[in-house]
Amino acid sequence: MIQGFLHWIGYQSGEELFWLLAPLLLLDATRYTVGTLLIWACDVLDDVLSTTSSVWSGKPNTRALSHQPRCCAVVAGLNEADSLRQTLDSLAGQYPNLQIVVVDDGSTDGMSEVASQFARHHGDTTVVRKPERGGKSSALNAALPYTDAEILVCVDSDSHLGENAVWEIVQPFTDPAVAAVSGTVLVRKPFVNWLTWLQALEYYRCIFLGRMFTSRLGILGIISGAFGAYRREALLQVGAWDVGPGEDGDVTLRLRRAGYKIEFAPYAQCFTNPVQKARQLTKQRRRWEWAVVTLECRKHFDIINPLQADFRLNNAIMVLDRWLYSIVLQYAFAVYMIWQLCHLHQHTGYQYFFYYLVYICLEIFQLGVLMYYCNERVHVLKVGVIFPLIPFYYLWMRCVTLWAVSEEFLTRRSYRDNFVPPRVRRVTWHW
Amino acid sequence: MTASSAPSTPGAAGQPLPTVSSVTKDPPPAAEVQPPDDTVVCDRGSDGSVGMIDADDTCIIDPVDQSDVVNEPPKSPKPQVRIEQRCATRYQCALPLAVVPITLDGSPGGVRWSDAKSVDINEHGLAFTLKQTDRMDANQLIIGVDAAAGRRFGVAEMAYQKFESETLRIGCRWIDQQPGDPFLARHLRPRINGQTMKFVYRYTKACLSHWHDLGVLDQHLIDRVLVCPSCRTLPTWRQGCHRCGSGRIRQDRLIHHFACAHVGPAPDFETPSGLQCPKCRTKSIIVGSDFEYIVGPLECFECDASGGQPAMSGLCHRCYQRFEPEQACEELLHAYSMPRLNVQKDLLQRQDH
Repeated sequence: MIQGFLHWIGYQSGEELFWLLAPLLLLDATRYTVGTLLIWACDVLDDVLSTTSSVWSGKPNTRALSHQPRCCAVVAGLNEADSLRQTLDSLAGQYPNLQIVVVDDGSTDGMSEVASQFARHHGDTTVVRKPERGGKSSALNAALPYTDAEILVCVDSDSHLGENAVWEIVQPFTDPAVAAVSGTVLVRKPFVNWLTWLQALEYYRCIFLGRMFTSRLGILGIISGAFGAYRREALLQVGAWDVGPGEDGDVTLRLRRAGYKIEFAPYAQCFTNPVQKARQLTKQRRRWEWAVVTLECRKHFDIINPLQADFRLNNAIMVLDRWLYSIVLQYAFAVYMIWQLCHLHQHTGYQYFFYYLVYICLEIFQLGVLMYYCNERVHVLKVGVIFPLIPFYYLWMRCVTLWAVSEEFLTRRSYRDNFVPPRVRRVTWHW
Repeated sequence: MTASSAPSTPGAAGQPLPTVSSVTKDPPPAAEVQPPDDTVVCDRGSDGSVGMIDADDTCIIDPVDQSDVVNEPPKSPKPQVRIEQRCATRYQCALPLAVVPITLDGSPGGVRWSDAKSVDINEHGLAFTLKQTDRMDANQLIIGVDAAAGRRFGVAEMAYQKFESETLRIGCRWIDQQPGDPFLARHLRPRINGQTMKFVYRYTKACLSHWHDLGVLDQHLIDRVLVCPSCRTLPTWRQGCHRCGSGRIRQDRLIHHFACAHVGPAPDFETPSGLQCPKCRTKSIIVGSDFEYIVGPLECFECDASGGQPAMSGLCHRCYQRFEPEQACEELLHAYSMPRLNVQKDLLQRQDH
């Protein structure tokens, strides 16, 4: 078979190979590969120049964590009594005078008791307990009356922060135009099963590298709900969080429309628990992908309207990018696959194997770039070992995205999702 | 109590004894000195005026006979005139009795045994003979028997005791569940002493344990209470400050507007025309369907702490120590009960059968 494949590939002309590889442009892997290649080249050049200049000038080439605004960590969660203590412990001592507000969104497992226990021994800790579940947005909003800190750092209650994470995430706020900064979310225990392992590699690639790329382009459109920082004043100006799902993307878009910048802090790292079952993962990703329809296609559709007072080109590009990669190319890929199935020929297997090999090469390249940027290279290498499976994982995710986008377009599925309790989604606006 | 280990008495079964009244009323006997065991028993109170059974169904004995109760065995029978009025049938008990005198402090005296042949019994009282030559210094007795339903006990008040050759004959009346009963249920349950704020019993714990060890009282766990870790008194509990435990706290009220997820202090929603969301400007919002109230974190007036949620805290009013529920000591509260002897059911009907 290998010999047959080599025979087949050897007979392809350059033009034929180009057209064979053209469908790969339908995949965002290609975009990310080109993007990471560019930023990597820029950073290597920058490193070389700065090292040369530091040697020349005799000054050390170090990055100082000098900006120290007053911070408040907001930890909102539901029934996270087991993991909350670890989250709070990871916050304690992270940052000088860090205020902590824990919001218990109607837990029944004693989460607020765990928080109160922590508050008893840690001075500037506030615990807000909601009588019933009201959704994550209202839980985050409930923290706002209890802090006057300049920066709010939102952390999921099932996550814990890496070293200096708060310091890292507040540094971009030296620019007063920056309203929000996204941290890197990584998987806490990657080797539980093959699914968590694949997610760990995906998080490294899509969040760590992917957001580095979109942030450099100025089109970062989301702040991770698990770990993100907001300028309180800007947040209040746009009305803080609206009802979800997709509330983190929504508030990011509103901040962008208000004229603020969104940044990414790759070394502000937060470790979270990935879902461990395929069914849960599918549900989670559907929920994430619904937002592209509810937000970019409905609620903030007018962001591309140049006649709008708050029109900005980078916002329009960001939305167009989302439309292209999350909707148009998804359907184009599906159509291509169907067309391929209708036109099977004797070398279809070789053709797919060829795609697989090229995709793997792109992944290996990205893994190399990842090794350049990451501090824990051995860990990244271990996580990256699963890269031969990643094309199949992304194929599955594409199917999930297609499913989610279609059902949201056709049935407004997100407004029936249990992520928001029924009493809230019944009275909220359905975009 | 060792009643179960006592040798079982073969059915020295009592035939119903003829009522005294039927024998003595018409015509009344002229005199009777010492009735034999298997015939009419003449019982009387120790004070001569109250018999072991109430006046309408007991014998009434000439006061002269009182000397017999307190003194040594009679030297020479002296003819006496007796008027006996007994309405209830008396039976001879088929089982030996365990007799435990109740001392003045409520604790048990030694256990004595009366053999089955020596016991006459009815639903009002009983008389029995013990092989001993000294008096029993007790006013009340616990009478135990291994009845068909298990080991049962009755409380009797001693009416008289008198010596008959080498034995002591004792007459009693049942006082089960009557005001004089020292083992009424309310006496065997713990109650709070308002002065010391501790749970106390009518009797000392040692005394109750002694009765329990004898098998007279059963012990039941009725509660587990948290008491002060220092002085073991009962504290009062409150939802107080999470840091100092004080109940002097204040909590703000927030409103969560469902539609826009805004959460803010309740006064921010108040307008002259009613409640209005300051974020989305929705008017006339209705509690329950449009919004809910949230109780905010506390502010303590005593230690100036803020931010926490109220936590349960105890205060000992004796040593004024504040403590959390986890620090409190758990005290087990027991009640005691006595398996009561039902004379009619456990003994008399058994005799009939």
